Amino acid sequence: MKWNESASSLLREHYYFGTHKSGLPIYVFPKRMTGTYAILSAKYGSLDHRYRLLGQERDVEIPDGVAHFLEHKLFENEDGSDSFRQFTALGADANAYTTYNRTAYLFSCTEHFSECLAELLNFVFHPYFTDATVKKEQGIIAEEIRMYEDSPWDRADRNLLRAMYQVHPVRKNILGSEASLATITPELLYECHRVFYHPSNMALVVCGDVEREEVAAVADRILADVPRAKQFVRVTEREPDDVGTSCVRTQMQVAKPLFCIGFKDIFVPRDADARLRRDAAMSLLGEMLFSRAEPFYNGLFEEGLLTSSYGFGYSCTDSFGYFGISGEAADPEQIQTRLYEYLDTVRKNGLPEESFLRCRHVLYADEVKAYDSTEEIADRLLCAVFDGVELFSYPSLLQDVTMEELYALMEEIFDPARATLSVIEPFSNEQDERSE
Amino acid sequence: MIKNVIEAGKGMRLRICQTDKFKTGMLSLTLAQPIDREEVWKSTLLLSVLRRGTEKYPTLAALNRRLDCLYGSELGIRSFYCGDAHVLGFSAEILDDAYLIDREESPLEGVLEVMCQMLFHPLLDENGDLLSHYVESEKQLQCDYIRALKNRPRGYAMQRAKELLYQNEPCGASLYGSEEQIMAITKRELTAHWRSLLGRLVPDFFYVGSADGESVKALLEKTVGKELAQKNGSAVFVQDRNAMIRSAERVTRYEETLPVSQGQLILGLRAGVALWDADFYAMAVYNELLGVSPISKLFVNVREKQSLCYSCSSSYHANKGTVFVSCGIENANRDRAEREILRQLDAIAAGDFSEEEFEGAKKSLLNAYRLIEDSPTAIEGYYLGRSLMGVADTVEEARAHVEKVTREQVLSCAARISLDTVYYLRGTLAPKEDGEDEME
Repeated sequence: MKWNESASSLLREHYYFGTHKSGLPIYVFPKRMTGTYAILSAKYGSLDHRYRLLGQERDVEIPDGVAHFLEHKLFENEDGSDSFRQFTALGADANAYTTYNRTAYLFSCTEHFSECLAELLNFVFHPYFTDATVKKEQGIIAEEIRMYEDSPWDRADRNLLRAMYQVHPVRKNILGSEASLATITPELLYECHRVFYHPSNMALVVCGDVEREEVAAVADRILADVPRAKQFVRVTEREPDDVGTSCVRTQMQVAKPLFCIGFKDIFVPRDADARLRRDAAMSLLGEMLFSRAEPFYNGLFEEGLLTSSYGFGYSCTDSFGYFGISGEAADPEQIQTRLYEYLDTVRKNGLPEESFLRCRHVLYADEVKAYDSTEEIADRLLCAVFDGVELFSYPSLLQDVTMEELYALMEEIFDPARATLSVIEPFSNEQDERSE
Repeated sequence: MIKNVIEAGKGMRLRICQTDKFKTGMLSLTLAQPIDREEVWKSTLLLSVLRRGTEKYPTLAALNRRLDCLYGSELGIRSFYCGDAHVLGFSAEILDDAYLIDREESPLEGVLEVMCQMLFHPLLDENGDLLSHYVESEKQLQCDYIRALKNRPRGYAMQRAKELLYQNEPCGASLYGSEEQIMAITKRELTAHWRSLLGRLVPDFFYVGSADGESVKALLEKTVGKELAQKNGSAVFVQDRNAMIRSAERVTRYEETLPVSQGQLILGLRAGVALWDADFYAMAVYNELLGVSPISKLFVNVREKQSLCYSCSSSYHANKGTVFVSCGIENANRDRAEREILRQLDAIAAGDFSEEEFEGAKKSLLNAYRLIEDSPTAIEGYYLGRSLMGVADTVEEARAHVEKVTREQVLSCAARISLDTVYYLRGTLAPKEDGEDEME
């Protein structure tokens, strides 16, 4: 296998990458740690709900929750063994997760790395499903759905996205619903596996005290018989610029109302590098406007209008992006009004240079800290790979962003016309009284 | 990895793990004392007030801006129980000097100065009392916090189960108190509590990072030493090892309701074995076997075979000699889940576990011990907890002990387990058809 190297003098780190002959991109990030972390991921998440095979006329529609269902089921193997068991027998800790745009399988270990990696590649590329195992999983995932349904912060976020977006599949629950799970069959899972789990639609990232040759040797051994890819295109729909609804409310078991105010970003660049720069700039702007050291939060907090449950952040992928501010407040509308007043004041008076420099320091320190964790490194590298950007360019982009850029961004993003307020409010009756 | 205890001036102790493995180290300041039911919630409240403003950094904004300038050194307050100790203090992440962009000042020195400001120089009014605005505001926030515990049904159920199981022990006292207690306290009383704590306790420090012990010690003596009175030495907390309840006399059942869709079932068990007992490592292996790894009895049977839940796991609270099993289920499955969990406890006690499961449990625990060395906060958590409980085992020694655990020891641990408390938080909402809320 031919390896290339990428390095950062600022972070004093480097990694190797290359494409295995099976088509699998492999990344090895050497790190002198006790544990080694490996993550194998398919570029397949809940957003991929419709695709078309090359040469076919018709789109194929996938029921909600299939990517996540597949993630649960891949650990079971044809010979009756369970990969969780194999990992535990090797002293490793294995897990998996599904997001909007990827499904990832991972392990961390402190010994037997090669055997663990072989197990990982083996089970992910060799699916085995039966009616009985599919049925069994439906009850488990139904409880997983209820667990999130009972989490008010999750519900506030989900409702925000469902209100803000009109057609985009980010509206869908990654887990699906009990009704959609009931339609899942082994054939459907096999088909999605054939389409999305080809090495060229995946990546392997390893971070720890390992040699890249060792990783390549395992890949040579296990990936010899991976079938040819089915060529496919993702079918996407055009999301209107306007938000679907500007306010959404739900009653739940909460002490005080929780809110999430989202601003839909309709200018997310198609170009990956431009998107990364926008992400860096938005992170800096968010920190300067909303951090716990700035006047917005402190003003409302000192007045007793916000509690210490508070957060903000920007997320974007190649098909959607938004900025969110969330918190706990007796009167969420008042927070929204004050937010608009604050933004107007900033527009008039500008942002202080002192804050610009200080917030850049904070984000730089956050970035450096991430490089103390093999898990964090591997996850970041994986995201960079799937986004098509260089991992190490982020800290220098942070240094490069200008004040003018931030002002322009502020105008683009914080437009009240593209804002949605999602509120979780307490039940109006007294049904939450404790009964002994 | 080296962990030294260095005696610094005026009774301060510094525990240090000097290493250049991390780009971000950590520093913690700890005050530990026996749990006093009447005082713990006051101390929790006091910490929040101290974090609001100091002589030099009079507002929360000023404090946070100062920490931002020290490369965003996250500084948090903490109030928790470790055995029968109430631990109070601050902890902060610190960017290593090697990664500073401008080398104007050291984040370690800066953070220590902020900690001293908060502990010794909070903002006081003209009468020498803590500021009324901060005290009243934090009282309200602590009440908000207590009410918001129910926002997380799983965490709330676990907390209630603990309160009930420990109701006749010191750690059964709420760290946050009751709304009535909180609203009744005056700024004068809270100020008196602050002065009394300072008079009784000398802070201990824990540092993980690249600076050497002597220079951290010198820094402590320079910044903190001047704040402490000449008389040195508060009493070091000593865990009373006879205070532990070894087995349950009877099973007590509780049920409460909450308007949520999933029920939470918690089983509180007396393990009879604590961190300082000879069988501790065997009990830790038992707990892995029961409900930690994905091949544990609970995961395999309650989740995978019976499809009763998404998560069913156990946790061993070695400082109290208890084990808690928790799972989130449908109300209709409540009895079945309890029977199935109890069946798994019996199965282990009857020796119904394979060599593969036993070895897997040991390996899973060994892996967890090894990974401690990869994280500054895990290193601090491990050694601080052990030192408070008077246990000297290093991570390496702990691993050697785990290697030696035998099947027979695990069986003898299983025989000591007794069921004490069963807590069920019944969800009173019907689950949604498609799991989604109406959009307006």
